[in-house]
Amino acid sequence: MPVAPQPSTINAGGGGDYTSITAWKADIPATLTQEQDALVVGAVTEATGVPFTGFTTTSSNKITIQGKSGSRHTGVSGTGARITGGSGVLRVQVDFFELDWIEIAATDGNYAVSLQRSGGTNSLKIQHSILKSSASVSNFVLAALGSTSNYIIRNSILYATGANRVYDARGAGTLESDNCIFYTQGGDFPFLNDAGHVVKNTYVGGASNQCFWSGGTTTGSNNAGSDTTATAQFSSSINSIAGSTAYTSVTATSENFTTKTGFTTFTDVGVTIAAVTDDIIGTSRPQGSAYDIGAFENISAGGSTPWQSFVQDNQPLPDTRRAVAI
Amino acid sequence: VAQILIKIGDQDARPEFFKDGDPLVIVEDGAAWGRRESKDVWVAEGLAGVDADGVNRSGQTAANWPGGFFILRVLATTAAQVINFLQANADGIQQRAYTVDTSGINVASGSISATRAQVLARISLKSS
Repeated sequence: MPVAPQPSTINAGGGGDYTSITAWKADIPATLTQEQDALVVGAVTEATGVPFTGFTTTSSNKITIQGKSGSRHTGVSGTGARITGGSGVLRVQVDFFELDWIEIAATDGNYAVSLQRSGGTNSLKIQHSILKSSASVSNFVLAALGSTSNYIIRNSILYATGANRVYDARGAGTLESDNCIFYTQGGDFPFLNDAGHVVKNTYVGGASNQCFWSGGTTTGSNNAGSDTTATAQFSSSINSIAGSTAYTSVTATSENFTTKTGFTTFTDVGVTIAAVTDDIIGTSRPQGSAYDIGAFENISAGGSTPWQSFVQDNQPLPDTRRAVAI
Repeated sequence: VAQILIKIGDQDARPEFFKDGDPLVIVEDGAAWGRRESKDVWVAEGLAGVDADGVNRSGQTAANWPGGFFILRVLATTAAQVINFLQANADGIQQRAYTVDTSGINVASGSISATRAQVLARISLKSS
């Protein structure tokens, strides 16, 4: 059987190795003998989603899907490499899997991503990514399933464009959420945790009831929410910050979670996380005296107003930072 | 003209993996393909030499086409008609409920065109 090149490029417009994740997956051997890395360019549609089931993976022979350098998002939906679809866009049931620098968008209210280890030692990571869905209450934007699982979500933005739940990790084993944003348009329980989970530098907002909900004792600190559940569960945390106060736009279907001009409440109030060295678009952390809360690390201009990072792979510098001929 | 990307060779014996004859992707005529999906693209890139990313593709020839896929072009048929047909009798991941009998077809050619009747004679629901 032909084996996908490592890495493979996925470009629906042609010019790559494959035009769909489905075709790329068809060239991955059932037992991986090397890492299989898909570099996505532009928008790829998977109308009925893609299941990843049955593959034998290891920590070095894992499956990775990421935005190709030069095609990565700017932290806002629709700006870079993305996979859109339905029926659960990515339904992952393997032991070692990573998403990085990519957007996954469900167009039918189903999961954007579901994670479930296949049964062995495992590590499933989502980093520098955007996940969104209208998400029915029973489906969530992201579901992390299964005991003795090891899930890490970092520097990512997950949101429902409707009044629904966002992230269900009930029953998951070891789970870590660092520097993320979870947002719902009025739904309840957008972020469901469980005993043994660790949550740091993360904002949860927009909920009608209990932004942070836990079925057990969670640990972590320096989180924030739009209601009063952040301080109820975590130390050094911040309550009652509405999404419309913190972010550029939380209006349904035109969300933009870059930091609102002049908003500094989340700046330099996070905790240091050794494994997190940058933000959702690659800006190194910290920029000031400490990490920020949320997915973006603001670059201080020396005053009280933070600059949103413009250091983005293959993006032009903003006018304010262009060289000026004298 | 609808184009159907068909898997050649079994990925694995277990049911969760793709099998020979599985329709994977259905698109309209003119839609782009990748170099691992289309023999025509593979050869054309080889003739062109260096691609847009600066990678030398001159080693890509008809003789070393990987051959993991086969493109079936269904004449006088739209992609939507093919998808509707495949969804009519199956749940879930619809196209994986069907198989296309590739016996006797020169799949090494990378693609062929066929009438709707010819395709219907070769496509069937998999036995469960």
